[in-house]
Amino acid sequence: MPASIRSLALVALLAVASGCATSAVRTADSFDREAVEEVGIMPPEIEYFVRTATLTEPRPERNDEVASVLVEALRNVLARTPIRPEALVLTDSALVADPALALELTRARESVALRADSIATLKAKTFTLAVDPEVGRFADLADTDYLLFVRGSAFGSSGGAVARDAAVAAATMILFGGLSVPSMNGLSIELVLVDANTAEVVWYNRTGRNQAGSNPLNLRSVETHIERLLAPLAPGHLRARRRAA
Amino acid sequence: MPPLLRSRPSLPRPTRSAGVGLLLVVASATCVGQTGPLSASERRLWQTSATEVAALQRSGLIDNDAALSAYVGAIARRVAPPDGPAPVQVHIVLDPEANAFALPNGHVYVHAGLLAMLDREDQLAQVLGHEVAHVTQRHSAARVDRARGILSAVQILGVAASVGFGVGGGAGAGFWNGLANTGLSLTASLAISGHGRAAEAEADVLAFGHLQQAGYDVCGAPEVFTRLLTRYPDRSGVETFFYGDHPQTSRRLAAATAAAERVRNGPCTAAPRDSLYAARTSGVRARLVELWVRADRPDRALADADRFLQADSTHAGVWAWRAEAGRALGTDEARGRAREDAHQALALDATLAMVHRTLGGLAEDRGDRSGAREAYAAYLAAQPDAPDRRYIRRRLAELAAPPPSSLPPSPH
Repeated sequence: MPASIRSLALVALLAVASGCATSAVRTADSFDREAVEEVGIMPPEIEYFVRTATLTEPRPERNDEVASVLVEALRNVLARTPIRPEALVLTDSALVADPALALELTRARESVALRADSIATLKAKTFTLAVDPEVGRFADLADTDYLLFVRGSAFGSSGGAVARDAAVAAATMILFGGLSVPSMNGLSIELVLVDANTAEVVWYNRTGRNQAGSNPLNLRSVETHIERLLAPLAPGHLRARRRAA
Repeated sequence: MPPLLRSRPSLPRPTRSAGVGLLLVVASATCVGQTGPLSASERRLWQTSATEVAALQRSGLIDNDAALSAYVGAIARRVAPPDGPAPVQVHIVLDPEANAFALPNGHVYVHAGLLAMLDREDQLAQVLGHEVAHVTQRHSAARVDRARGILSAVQILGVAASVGFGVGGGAGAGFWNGLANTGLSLTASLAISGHGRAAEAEADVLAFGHLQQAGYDVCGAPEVFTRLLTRYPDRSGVETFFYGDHPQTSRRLAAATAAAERVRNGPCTAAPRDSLYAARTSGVRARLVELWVRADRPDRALADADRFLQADSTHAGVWAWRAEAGRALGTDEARGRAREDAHQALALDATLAMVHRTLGGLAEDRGDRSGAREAYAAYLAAQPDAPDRRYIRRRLAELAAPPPSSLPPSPH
């Protein structure tokens, strides 16, 4: 597993279990919020993990399922704003049939991931960063000027883990009088908005450290999560709720 | 479905004696391979492998140069025993690091960076023989079975720290970013961590035997380790902690050198240039320089380009990507040289559209707006369907307007 993803997964796991919120929103120096009229939603890069009674392991066979829920949630949430969403669907068969497009998708994701890693560590609230201009290919496909990249990790729990959590919660309640055990379902994502005409990253936000407790396979839960993340992009249209359902 | 039973490959006597020599050096390389039907965990590994093969294929990271794949595949089959658990299929990974890895189901992946680092077919045969040995000896399954019940298969393979061929975890180039979040945990584990010290040593021994059996020059084996050692010196200090259980490259070099000398009854001498290998892998060299540029490593791009151009100064693609690397490096000296490189590339191949884009960027960098417009227009004329045409059109529009642009420069 790539080190960056391991780190992201670890941060996400810690985030699920801990508190302490900080605002992660960053914008480009030249960002004009009003100019964003439509957004192409890129196929999310999501790795799904399941926590069993003894360990946490990746379940790649469910990545697509989580990604579908995310895209649906993004479309639904953006539909409540003046921003028109356009989901870009790139099927496996299309990517296998067109290796050049597949490679461009991988490069676009790499380029955005590199910039996102830089932005995530920024202390300043604004930045000037460009990605590979070849992302324009996807803007053409989506017929939008802006592209929204989504990447991150999702977590679920097996029956064994749930049973163990319930036992621990019961024991904790008996011993300490009502302390709750946090859910280990979780979603930790980064949203990166790119202006495809200038190849500039214009807006960035990520799941806060106490905001990861969403069920990644539950549309309403993910919508609440997305709404909170996108609220700064469409102020006055979305509510930044404190806690996911 | 390929046969689920396998037996250890039977080696000819001279090969066996050479192998024994190596085994004495790496005494821990015993009892790694297994025979028998697939265990439940091995079946799971094969299922995961099939999933990841498909995912790699649609990632775009697999080179689609059919001629090169066929050439490398033929070498792999030449050094593969006939009774392996699965037919060997070789893929070229578009990654600049020198690495190779094998999935349990017989799919072997060779990085473009490794192909470009080597300069002879017998060196590549040693690498492929090593990776094929991991498949035939079912090293992944052996490791999982030994630790069954403690961790998941993927975690077991990821926990152990040993490198097959290549640099492993310190890479930091495109491949690892490219695989991010695609769920290719098995691939990442094997590519980064390898199979453990004993299995890696056994794979070295078996590969050496098959190299000899296939009629290759056995000096290819130590030459591989010499190149790896030059590029990735053995780790020491704190880094050894993480990679503590793999045989260090210097030890592998010593073992391979001793075995080769034993077979040849004397030391290896400098081999002549393998012009066939150079010709067959020529396309990879320009791709490699491009991959370094795209991985934001213009320094590595320039270093490799210089190495390639020393061997072949007529490679237009290498000149073209050297120019882009110089531009990305951003110093006045590098940009000046980049213009010369770009014109050299066009002199060798006037159809290279991307060179015009580089020249446009260089012109913009020095404030030559009309020069930039001319070059960008030439780029779009030469490649109307360029993936970055939207950006270039925007640049052309900006450059046509009087005030200076506030747009940031593109990364490459």
